[in-house]
Amino acid sequence: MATLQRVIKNLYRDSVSLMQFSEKLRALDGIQQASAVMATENNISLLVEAGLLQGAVPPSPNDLLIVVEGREDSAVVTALDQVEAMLKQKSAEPAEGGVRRVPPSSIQMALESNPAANFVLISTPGEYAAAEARKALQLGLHVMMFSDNVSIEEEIPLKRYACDHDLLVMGPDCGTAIINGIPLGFANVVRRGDIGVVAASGTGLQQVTSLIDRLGGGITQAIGTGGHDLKSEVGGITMLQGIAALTADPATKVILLVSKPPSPDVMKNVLDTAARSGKPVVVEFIGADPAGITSGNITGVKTLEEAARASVLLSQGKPLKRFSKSLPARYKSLVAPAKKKLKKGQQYIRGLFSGGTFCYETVLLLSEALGKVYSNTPIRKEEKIPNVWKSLEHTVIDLGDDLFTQGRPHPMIDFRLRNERIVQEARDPETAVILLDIVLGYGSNMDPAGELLPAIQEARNVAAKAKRSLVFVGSVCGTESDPQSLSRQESLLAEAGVLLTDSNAQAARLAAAIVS
Amino acid sequence: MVNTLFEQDFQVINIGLASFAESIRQTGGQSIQLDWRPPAAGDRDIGMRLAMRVNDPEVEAANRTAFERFLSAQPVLTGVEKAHNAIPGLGERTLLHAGPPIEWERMCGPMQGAIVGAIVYEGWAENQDHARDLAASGEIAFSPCHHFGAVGPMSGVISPSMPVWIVRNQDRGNLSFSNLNEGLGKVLRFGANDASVLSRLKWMESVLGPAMDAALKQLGGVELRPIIAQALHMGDECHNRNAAASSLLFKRLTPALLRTDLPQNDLARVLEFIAGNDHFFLNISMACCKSMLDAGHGVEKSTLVTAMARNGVEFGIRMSGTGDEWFSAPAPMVEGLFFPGYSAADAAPDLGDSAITETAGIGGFAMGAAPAIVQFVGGTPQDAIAYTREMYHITMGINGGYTLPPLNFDGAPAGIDARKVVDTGIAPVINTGIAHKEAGIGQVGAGITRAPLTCFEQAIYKF
Amino acid sequence: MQIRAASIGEAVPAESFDAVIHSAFESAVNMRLMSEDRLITLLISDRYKLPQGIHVTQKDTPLQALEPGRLAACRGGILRFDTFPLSIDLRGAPVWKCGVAGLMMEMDLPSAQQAWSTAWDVLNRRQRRTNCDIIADDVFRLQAGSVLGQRISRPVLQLVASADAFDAGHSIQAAETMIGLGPGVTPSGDDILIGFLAGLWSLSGEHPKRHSFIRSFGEGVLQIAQRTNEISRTYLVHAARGQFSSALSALVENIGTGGDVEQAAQDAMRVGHSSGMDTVTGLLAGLAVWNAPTHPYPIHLHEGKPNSGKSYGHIATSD
Repeated sequence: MATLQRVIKNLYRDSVSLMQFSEKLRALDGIQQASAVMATENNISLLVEAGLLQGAVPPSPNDLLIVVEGREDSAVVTALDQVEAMLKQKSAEPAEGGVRRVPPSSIQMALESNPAANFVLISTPGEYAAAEARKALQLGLHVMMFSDNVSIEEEIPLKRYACDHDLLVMGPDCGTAIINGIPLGFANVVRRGDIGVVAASGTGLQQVTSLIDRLGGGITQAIGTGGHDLKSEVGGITMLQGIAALTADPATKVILLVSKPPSPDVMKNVLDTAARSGKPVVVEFIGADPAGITSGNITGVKTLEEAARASVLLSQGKPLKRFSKSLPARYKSLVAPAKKKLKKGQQYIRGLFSGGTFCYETVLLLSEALGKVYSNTPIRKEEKIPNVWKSLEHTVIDLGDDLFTQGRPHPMIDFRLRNERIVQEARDPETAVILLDIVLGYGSNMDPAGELLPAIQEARNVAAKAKRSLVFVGSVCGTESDPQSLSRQESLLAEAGVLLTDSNAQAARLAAAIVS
Repeated sequence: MVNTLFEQDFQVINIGLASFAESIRQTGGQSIQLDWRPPAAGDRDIGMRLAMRVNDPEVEAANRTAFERFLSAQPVLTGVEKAHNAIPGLGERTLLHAGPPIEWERMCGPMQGAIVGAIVYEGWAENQDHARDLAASGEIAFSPCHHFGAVGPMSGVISPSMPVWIVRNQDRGNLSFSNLNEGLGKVLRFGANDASVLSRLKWMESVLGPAMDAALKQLGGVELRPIIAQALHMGDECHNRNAAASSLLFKRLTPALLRTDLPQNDLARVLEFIAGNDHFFLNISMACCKSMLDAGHGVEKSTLVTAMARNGVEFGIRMSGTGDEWFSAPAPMVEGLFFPGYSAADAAPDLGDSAITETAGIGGFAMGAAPAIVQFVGGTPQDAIAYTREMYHITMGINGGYTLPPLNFDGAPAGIDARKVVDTGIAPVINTGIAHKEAGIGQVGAGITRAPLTCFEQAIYKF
Repeated sequence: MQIRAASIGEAVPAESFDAVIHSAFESAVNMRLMSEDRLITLLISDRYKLPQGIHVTQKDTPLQALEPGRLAACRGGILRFDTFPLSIDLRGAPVWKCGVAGLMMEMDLPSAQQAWSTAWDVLNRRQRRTNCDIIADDVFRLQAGSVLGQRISRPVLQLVASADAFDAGHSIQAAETMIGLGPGVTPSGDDILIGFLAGLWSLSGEHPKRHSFIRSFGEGVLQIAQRTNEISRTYLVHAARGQFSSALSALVENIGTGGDVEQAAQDAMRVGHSSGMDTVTGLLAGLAVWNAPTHPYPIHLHEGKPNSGKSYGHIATSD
């Protein structure tokens, strides 16, 4: 008489088929007894008591234990082999997997091989973006539309559908976002923390998140809404969803909202929702009066830098202080030496920007300090620059304007246009200060300082020939963890004599101080 | 709640700039880059209509119904009768042909040849010239086989006196038909129409047809899906390779034939004829597929493709939810291997109703099960498996009844979803014979082609 | 192809979760949740529902092809499987809740006792007819013929007696000797425990003492559930929370309301090979607790009485 047992790992067969197997085993030649049970402690001791198991085997409740008793070893071994083969027949790994892994060409196809995907990032030409977003939403996925040129008529139904189905549509024209610590589109690598951001402006979002990082804070999520979200037709659907999500997010302590001033109805809705959140909310409606916004848990601020500072203070549980409009001492000391370099007649600032919000914020701050500022994105109609290719008095140009990007990469990536313009401004005897933004992060040029330095040098040469010297002022938007490294970019620019401030707002103020 | 996103692993499907997918990976996220092109060659209107239908509950429900009807069909080969007796509504002077509707003038060479042959065969004209005049006169009605529940390979010409296989779907009762395969060489379906062709057709009408009918009556019908399932395990894909299925059928028919009172001579000739034709089963395979697909046809809002057929000029498809409408595009050329002495210059564009097999999930779709086919159509056995795997991405499900040994007995991809075709840009693969562009020369090669995407785009647009 | 879920059990995570296919049967697939130590089950069934079940009615859903180890993920209410052409739409599917815990059964009602007796007869007949290892009548009379039946009898009696005495310690001790005992994917010992818990939950009503007993006993069962396999453990987890299959719930309900007990009992017993019968055995035992003097069945509680327990007649009215 021989008794042998075998354990088959992680095998589940329904009881009926196990019984059938046991019966088949018993019917085999030379087999007296057979039992197939899950190898639990109680079953093992039962088998021991029944004399089917010689000694206890270690229990492994998820495995199948087969015990066979027969006349001789060989019959028992054959029986065990047979039953194991029968049991394993169906669970064998497929030789070549179920479906061929061809590169997925549709969202649905991508889901077939990656069922856990939860997000779709769309940067197709704008004309196809809405259709892809629609598919993603109908498949239950969240969406970021980096693509621009999507009409508001396409945007509204997408956002309504998303809202009804508890999904997020960031964009269209959403340049940046940070979800679960992952930068999307053009975004900086920002420390994780407890500040949640919702922003309608891409570079605005980059500036506040980078500054939060610089100030030692961190973010939970940075949700981009796209530029049209706060128009009254759209009604701020994404911003409202964002506020609600951050309100419900236990990791978010402070909420920061960034946008150009929305239409009054949307503004009211946004502020009401923010008020209900019960969390401290910092609101930067760029250009709106902070005093009209501040109330209860809501703190209105004037600049992107203040927005970052206020958020970090709140997150650290520190009291908010009044933010000074004047230049901090460390920048004040730069003013006099810079003024000294300028000749008579060199009286104007020429701002050349790659980030739309940086440009807009600069126009606001300079007009406040200096009066008339011409721009392609002016705050007053009469200050619209007549010819965008030629500066006039104080001029601040957004080189990311569609006008400049037709058939050419964005100025954050391709510096040629800005570099040419820097040299062009150097030729103008009225140019005193050239004011720049330098944007780091994924998506941007991998070495912006390296791109700018030759142009700065050439500009200086041009000016020197005319016995002038130029002042360069700028700020770098980025973090140490960005692929370009903030400190490296700053030191390269500083070596080239560019006066750097931590924020765009301070750069504007420094420039203003130099020419006033 | 949007917040669930914050609690999950972040997995991004990236459409567009590949650098975004890369930076997500670099910062610790997971991303899948789509190999994306605008669907429908950039037609925004179709693209948006498609998008609205992706995962649309109504369409999903309709497709479930259609797919279930399609898969639960039980086609049984019940008998053989003359077309005018078997096919309901077939008019007196009507000739059926392959593919979507086409007028005499526009028909390709092989189809015109077959039409001429059929007119003479029916005795409507004395000779080929008269037949040609008659065909052009408008007195003969031409209609796609598909409009009568029928299918025919190559030119697919069926005339009223020709014997046709009758297949009944036991599940829903629908009938489908196909003509009897004449063998290779000079045959009507390739447009040959001389006396030898016509006399073979007459023999098929008077001897082969009745013999088959008698045998089938003896057998009480033959269930077709089990034969196809078995043939798929024996190296057939039941479109371009029918060697196994034909043998299996032969095995079923022979004892039954011996029990009929057929004269010894006829019996011997019938058996020789079947034994000598490895494609004998093709027409039956097609009628079986037609039977299953017709069961799934006519479900409102369903995007199940229920027919793909070519008339040598146009390639047309039908979709379950769009009724009898055809969506057509110029018939593509077939890429493949040519018989000695022929080249691509001799080939007619894609022709015949036989793409019904692919529509039903065998043929090119089951090529992985038929490694020997690649000797015929080109490529390697791995390519054949790859084609089958690719087709899973455009089908609604799998046919558990047709398992494919080289794919570890996975069921064959089944039920083409027009939405998926347009969305992925993956066109259904078709495994087919190549006809000579001139009538009567016959088959000059075999190969692989793809259904034109525009057919599916139009279908989605119409939707 | 996409299939709509006909209903989902209350214990299925709402709209998104990740899981790995654990095991596949002809009409059910178990998936191990990544976030919790339990399984959820995709089930083809018209009527039978589980608290952890996603129920579809499509008969030919090719579940067996879902090999263990494949990933499953639910996003936005749509469940999908790695490289498998099937998705299940959970959105809008009605949520099925088990009502056992809220039943407030009164076993001293004559109609309930009548129903209990009917169920008991049906159970024993079927157990004898199918030649089961466990025959309820024999177990409770300590006359079981099979090794398994003999082994499980005393613990079952101890379970009833100590539950009656609100003695969670001894109840858990009894459960310990039952857990994982018996053949099949859900061993008989586990099934009896699950049924037993269903009985207790249905009697819990608004009695705080019963509630606290069930909680501590359930807690104890969860502690020892590691000794059985994952599938069975999942059922135990739900049983401890008062969540049971629709078949078992319907039977309890019918016993309470005097409905068609025979049919309900047959439905409940039809689950698995012996699983359903074992569970019903446990259920009827559970329903015998806390109302013994008027109970129709002479359960020999003294045989399984825990050493420290009070005598049977005593405690019956102590609640």
